[in-house]
Amino acid sequence: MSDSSSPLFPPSPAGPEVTLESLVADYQALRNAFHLTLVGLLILTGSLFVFFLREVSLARRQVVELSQVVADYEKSGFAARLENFRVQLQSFTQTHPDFNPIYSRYFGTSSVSQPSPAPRSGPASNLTGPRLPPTPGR
Amino acid sequence: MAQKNMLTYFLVALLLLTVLATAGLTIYYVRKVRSWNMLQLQTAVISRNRTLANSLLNDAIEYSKRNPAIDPILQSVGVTKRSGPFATPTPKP
Repeated sequence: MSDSSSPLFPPSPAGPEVTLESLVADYQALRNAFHLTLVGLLILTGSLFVFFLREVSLARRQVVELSQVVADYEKSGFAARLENFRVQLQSFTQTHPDFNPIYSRYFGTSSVSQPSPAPRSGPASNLTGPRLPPTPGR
Repeated sequence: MAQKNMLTYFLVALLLLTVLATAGLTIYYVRKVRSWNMLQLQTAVISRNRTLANSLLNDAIEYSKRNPAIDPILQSVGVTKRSGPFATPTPKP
């Protein structure tokens, strides 16, 4: 296939003559443009790197703080005390059925086999099921 | 000419290095944020549990005014009618 006879690339008789000097100049311009693009990309990725570095530092600090809160909670034995309290209240509910509405409101249905009265009106009365899970995050 | 090529190679290598470092840092950041979200959820549950436990305690104390039979249970968890064992400060979110 000869390019000179192709209708897609017709010879340009009126165009400037392509010389070696002009090719070298174009090559140099292209190289400069490529370098400029590389430098721009370097600045962009460098900025992104610094941004993520700051964000990672912040996230790491917050993770440490929250881990401390969760560790303190687990160390305090709050869940165990709450479970102990719940067991005691459950056995109390069996002997004192009038406490059943309060118990049911926080721990769901108790083992007392009697119809529970209507829940007390209030913001928490529309919640169903157990509302106090024994231990979070396990 | 070779010196100009060296500059190009150097810039490309530097860019590749920076891109790789940024990608690695991004992955690390995503993992940290995921674990941060999980911990935030846990602390929210802790805070909710403490609030509900205090509410339960208040209800039990109110009930004890009508039926003092619950007093031994309240005392067994160290509750007086003024303060309770669950009255700890809620964690910061």
